[in-house]
Amino acid sequence: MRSDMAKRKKRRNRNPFFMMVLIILCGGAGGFLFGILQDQTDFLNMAGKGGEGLLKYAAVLYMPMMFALIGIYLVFEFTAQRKIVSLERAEQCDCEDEEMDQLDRKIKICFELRSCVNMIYYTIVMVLFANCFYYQEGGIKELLVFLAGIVLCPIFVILQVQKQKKMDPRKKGTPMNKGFAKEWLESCDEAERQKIFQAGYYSHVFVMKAIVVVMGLMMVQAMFLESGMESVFAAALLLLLDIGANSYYSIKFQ
Amino acid sequence: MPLLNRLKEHRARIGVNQAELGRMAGVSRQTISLIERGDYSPSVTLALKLAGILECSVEDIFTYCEGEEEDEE
Repeated sequence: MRSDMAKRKKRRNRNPFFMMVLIILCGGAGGFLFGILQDQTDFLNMAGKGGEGLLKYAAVLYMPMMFALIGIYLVFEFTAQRKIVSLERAEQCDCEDEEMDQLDRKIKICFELRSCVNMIYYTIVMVLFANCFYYQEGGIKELLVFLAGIVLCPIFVILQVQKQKKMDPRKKGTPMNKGFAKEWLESCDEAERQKIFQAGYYSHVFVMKAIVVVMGLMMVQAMFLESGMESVFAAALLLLLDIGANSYYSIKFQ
Repeated sequence: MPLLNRLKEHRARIGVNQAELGRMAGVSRQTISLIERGDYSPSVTLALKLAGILECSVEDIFTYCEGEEEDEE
């Protein structure tokens, strides 16, 4: 068993320079192949045109799509709220420690799921609105529906934070305030803070890798589908912001 | 983690549940649960607070196991 673990550890600790050169060679080979096949990649151009068709269609159907999205979002939020309330009631009963841990875990999952859905909803609303106006299908009505849809997101975020504060009166901070993140962190106990820091670190590592991949895809799109350089610049800016923020806070907390 | 603890036994001795002990120590119930399961090592401050509440020494609650750390390496 120990020798298996040692072998696995050895495999994981490959020379990083070797890995770096290997990844660069793979990326270069991929780019070379794309270059050779450029004239034969009509299917990519067709996919690009098909994608554009879908976006135009989405622009025409903006209003029904927005109403459907808002409806689904409201149903989800009210269902999640009811679930959290029922789990909270179950916690009031004198349960065993393991049952309480299970209930806590379920409540935590509900809150995290709500946060994810909030952000996904927010992103889709912004993209649909921008798409609608890009294809010149937008007017005052579309703008008002967009504003109504976008205002729902912070309302539910505020309600969620208030709920969490009610469940745990130690928590401080008013959402939408400038110092909210700092106040919230300071009101967490040491174990909660450690979890936040761990989640933040692993998120940063994952997001950095994801942005690099997205930037690569945007570069391929710009080079071979002539979609313009804006998306490459946007991805590059995000990467610089991520790395810059991480470096700044690493130095600040030295 | 190379830190064994008898927090649950001492808590049962004084007859409080995790939520009550957490309230007394100024931490959440989840933190007490994490400590009891060995998934979290408390800071010195929290360990001293818990020892004070449970009316015993820190060494009575927490034991550092050197042997377990060598095994992990």
